[in-house]
Amino acid sequence: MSHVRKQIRDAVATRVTGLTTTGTNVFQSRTYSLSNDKLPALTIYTKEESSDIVNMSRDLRRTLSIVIEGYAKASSSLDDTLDTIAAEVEAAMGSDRDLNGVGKIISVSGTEIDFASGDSEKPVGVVRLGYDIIYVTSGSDPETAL
Amino acid sequence: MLDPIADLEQLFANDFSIAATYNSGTVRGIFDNQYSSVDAGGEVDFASSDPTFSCKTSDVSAAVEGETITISGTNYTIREVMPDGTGMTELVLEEQ
Repeated sequence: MSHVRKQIRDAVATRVTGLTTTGTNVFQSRTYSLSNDKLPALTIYTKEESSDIVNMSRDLRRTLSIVIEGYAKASSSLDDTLDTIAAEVEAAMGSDRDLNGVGKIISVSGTEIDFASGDSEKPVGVVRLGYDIIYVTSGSDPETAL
Repeated sequence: MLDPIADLEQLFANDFSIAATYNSGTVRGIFDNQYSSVDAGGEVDFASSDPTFSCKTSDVSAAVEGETITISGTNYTIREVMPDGTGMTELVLEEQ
């Protein structure tokens, strides 16, 4: 078993693998640079979580912030490509709120888009989609979703 | 006696320079395309390259953004023209 947070990250990765634009270029918690052969790509990060006790058994309701980033490099229509990536991710994530029984997708918490062109042979851009996902565990067993 | 123009001629006539096609003519210059790590605001950087072409200003005095220059069979779009004021100009390129 693994922490439910990892199970959720895995479920999200499965959900967004095989999309038309990014295909199998899906990476969890990647720290190394993305080379041309890995683009366009999606990266998935779980960096924040809040929790509160919900009952006398001290079960924890946790709200996990998950970030899915889409990366693209293109000479033209870079913003269109990033919007296409976002549309594909949103459709995949919105197809079912349930994540393999380990968590529920609450909402898209925000979208940001950034570009850079200096020091690159082609313009590059990133679209960042934030999702809030809620799950419940006991206080003593973070590897089992309730 | 120092002759900056003659020095430039010698610089671009030697083995360090290559020929590029610009405006249907040939321009000699030094092509650089080193690795570049580009931060676009995401958690990870893009592994990229940073192509530039340095040549005599007189050879590209009318160069403007958007024109094409061909180097070693690859077409590039000129994105920035940066004369240094001493007779040299660096062209910042984007691969087409």
